Amino acid sequence: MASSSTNKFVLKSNDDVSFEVTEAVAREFQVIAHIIDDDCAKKAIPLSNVTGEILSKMIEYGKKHIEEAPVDEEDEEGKKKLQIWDEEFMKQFNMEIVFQLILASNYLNNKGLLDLTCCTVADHIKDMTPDEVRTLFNVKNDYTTEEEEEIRKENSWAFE
Amino acid sequence: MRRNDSARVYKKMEQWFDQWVLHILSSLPTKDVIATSVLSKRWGSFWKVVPNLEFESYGNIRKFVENISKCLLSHKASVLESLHLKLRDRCEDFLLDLNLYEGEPLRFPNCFFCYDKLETLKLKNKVLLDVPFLVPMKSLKNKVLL
Repeated sequence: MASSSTNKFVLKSNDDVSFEVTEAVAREFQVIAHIIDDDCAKKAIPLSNVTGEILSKMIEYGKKHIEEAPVDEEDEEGKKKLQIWDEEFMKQFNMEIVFQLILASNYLNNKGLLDLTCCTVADHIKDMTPDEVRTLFNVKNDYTTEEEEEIRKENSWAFE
Repeated sequence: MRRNDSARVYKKMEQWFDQWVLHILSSLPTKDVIATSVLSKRWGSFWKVVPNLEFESYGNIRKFVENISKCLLSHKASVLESLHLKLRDRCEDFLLDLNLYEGEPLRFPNCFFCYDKLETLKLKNKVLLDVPFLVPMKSLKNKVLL
């Protein structure tokens, strides 16, 4: 039987872009791992919620995390190296792509990428004004001026 | 950045809104999480259910303790996954009381023993203490375990 490094699978995006990946990379995404385990992965695996652009980035992430996986829990140097790569990897995306990556990593169930993308959004909004965050998330302020004042007063230390 | 585009994608995320918002907020310091309560009524109580709390002291330690107590009293998450306290200032008395805590006993972090300004350390209820062989806490006068 072929090993997970030689066994290949084809992942197909919702805009018909196909990617051939090793079984190890495919298994980085739990949903795909289940499809493989259920023996339903004879042909190309269609991923109806992911575009080719996003899928290619997710595969790049998955490959890197297979190739450069820390040897064990104690491998601090390996973890640090991967963490630096993660940070550089995220720098290339605007917020629209980051949101799409959150959606796709939730859909394909890759916890590492979901954590990384959520952290990127958190870092991004940290220094924004409330109005800027509202614009980013499409939030309508439904407080009256008095209510907003009350909220600020309740935990005034958080707004200093 | 094209803000309209991000808002469009964000709309798609509505279906699991609470889940991903909590995921994002979980990696922010609690101060920043509470600040999001001003965005809208829907965002008003997210900070109360975020499972990770992280407090950092900037000045008045008494005020810092008050803020944490007030925050913990309003906190309603069914599970508290982590509680981080970052102390930048001089802290002479430290009391950790897990009286209402119902889970497995928690291990008190060893790094704390490198802090040599502490005079009193009180640990109550379900705190495991694994004291390193060499404890450099020069100022420690009182240690109470209850």
